[in-house]
Amino acid sequence: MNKLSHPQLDHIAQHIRSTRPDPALYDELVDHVASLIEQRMAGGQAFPAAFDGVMQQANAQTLDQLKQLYRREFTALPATPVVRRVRSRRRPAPRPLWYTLLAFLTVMGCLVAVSQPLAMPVAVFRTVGAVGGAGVMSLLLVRWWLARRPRKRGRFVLA
Amino acid sequence: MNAANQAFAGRTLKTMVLRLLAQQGRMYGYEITQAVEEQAGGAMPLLFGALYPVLHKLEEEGLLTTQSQEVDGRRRKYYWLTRSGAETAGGSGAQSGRFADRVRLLIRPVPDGLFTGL
Repeated sequence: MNKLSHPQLDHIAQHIRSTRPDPALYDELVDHVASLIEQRMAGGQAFPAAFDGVMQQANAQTLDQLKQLYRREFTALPATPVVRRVRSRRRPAPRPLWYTLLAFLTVMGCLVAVSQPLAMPVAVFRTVGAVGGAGVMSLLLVRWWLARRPRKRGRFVLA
Repeated sequence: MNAANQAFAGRTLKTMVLRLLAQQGRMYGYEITQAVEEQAGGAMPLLFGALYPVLHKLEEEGLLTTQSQEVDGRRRKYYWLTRSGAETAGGSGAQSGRFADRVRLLIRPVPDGLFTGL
């Protein structure tokens, strides 16, 4: 059987590439078309005639249909939504109010705890405690006030 | 060809490919099309667009394994059966009585108009 030369193979490869086939199929398309052309050349045809004959069958429309088929059958579903779902389960949305309250209680607890070893009266922290407590209470009040009012839809949506 | 016939033709072609590979060991795409045509006595040209999706589906299902190597200046992908592929091919041998009839029905699988005479 006639073997194709490198320029002839390049010519075939260039034609197949121009149809932008599915990458999984490219090498096999080139080999398949080259084998068909070799078969025709063994039957006495010259390369240009054999190439044209095969390419009438392996035309751009045909290869495009094949590409669409591969896109439907073999393309994996995007993984992004799954990743997002897993992340959202693993890492809950931050809740600033509760973090603030927790931080305040932690700081106050630490101050009370160190006051006795350092021989500091607890009253020293009274002002700090009062200001912090008032701040937290006001935050809780604002939050409660906002929660009891019905939210307007699309309030923050840009027109 | 309606969807049911396409599915039927696809299954039949899968069976043919598995049996061929069980007989021949390893084969590449063009070689498989020639063998299918030969088995069908030239009455059933295997469509270009039908074979490779089936081969790749079988590979995805773990029934075939592949190896590419350079032959005559181009990459050639060879297929052969995995263990489960061989078991499946063996199982399909029991249906060989109906196999020839199915082969005759293997005309124009999905999608229509794809590369006849290969």
